This record gives sequence, C-alpha cells and structure tokens, in this order.
Amino acid sequence: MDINVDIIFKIAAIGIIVAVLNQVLIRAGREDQAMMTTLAGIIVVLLLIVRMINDFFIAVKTLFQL
Amino acid sequence: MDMDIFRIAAIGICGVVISSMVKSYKPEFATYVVISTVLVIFIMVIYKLAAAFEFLGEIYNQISYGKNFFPIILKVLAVAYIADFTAQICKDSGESAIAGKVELAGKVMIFYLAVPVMMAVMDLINKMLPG
Repeated sequence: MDINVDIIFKIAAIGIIVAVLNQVLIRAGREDQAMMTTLAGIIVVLLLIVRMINDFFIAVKTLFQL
Repeated sequence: MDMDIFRIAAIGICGVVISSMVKSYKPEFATYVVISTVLVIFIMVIYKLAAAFEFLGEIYNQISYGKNFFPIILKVLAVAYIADFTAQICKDSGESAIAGKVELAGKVMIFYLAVPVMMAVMDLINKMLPG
C-alpha cells in the first residue's frame, strides 16, 4: 500500500493530455483517432483506479479482520 | 509516519483544485481524481486506525461478552464505512439514485449483522425474568 500522492497528479495529467490530444486531432480532421485516444486515456486511468480500489479493499479486509 | 493533519488537508485541497481543473477539460476524469484523492487520504489514516482497533480488541477480550461481539462491531464498522464511501462518491458524480441504493444495502447488511446481538440480549432478558 504505497502512500504516494503523485497518483492524483498522474491522473490529472493523463486527463489534460487526452483532452489536448483530442482537440488537436479534431482540428486535424481525424475524429475517429481523437475518439480512440480519449478511450485509451479513460481505460488507462480506469486500470489505475481499479488497482487502487483493489488495494483499498484488501486494506479494509485486513484491518477489519473480515 | 506521523499522521500530519496538515499534510492530509493539503492533499484534500489540492485534490479539489485538480478535480475542478480537470473538470473543465474532461468532465469524466474529475471522478477519477476524486476517487484517487479519497483513497490516498484513507491509506494514510489506516495505520492509526489499525492501532486503535488493536487497543479496543484487548479491552473487549477482558469482558465476558467481548469474545463474540467485537468482530461483529468491526464488521458493522467496515460495512458502514464502505457503504458511505461508495454512496458519497456516487453522489459526487451526480448519481444520487445509485447512492441511495448503496446506502439502503448498507443499512440492510448492518441490520443483518446486528440480529445475533439482539438475540443475545433477548436471551439475557429471558434469563433474568422470574418464572
């Protein structure tokens, strides 16, 4: 259970990069690739969050001796 | 690691700021930022919570009823905390219907966990009553 705060900044950075990339690709006329990058960004962040929630549930289980 | 309340407050505030910043670019990422902030703060607190529970465990082991009721208290605490955690995150992202259902499930589970305790109290009362 790493108590690293930088995971919040990592997620925020991914969000902003995906947003900027999205705009750039839309301006360049490639809407489908823009949607792809958005999906990729969301999936990456989802994996991060799922791993964190998994650690969180394990921590609660061990703590409350469930 | 000294649980520094100032550090936790700073993390909470920067989580809020970052969430509102990301919300302007990408609304769906704000929920992720909020979830990660909440988890980081909880993980920082968990060690102190574990120490408190060890202390409570020792006290409850001395009382005769302590053996079988302390785990129930822990379970109820865990259910309440998880239900509250999920319900608040759902409310945060605007889904109050899901939040309501999660809270309802939490209440039902806590009631289910509390039934043995009520049975024990009933038995105790029956024993005390004459005849």
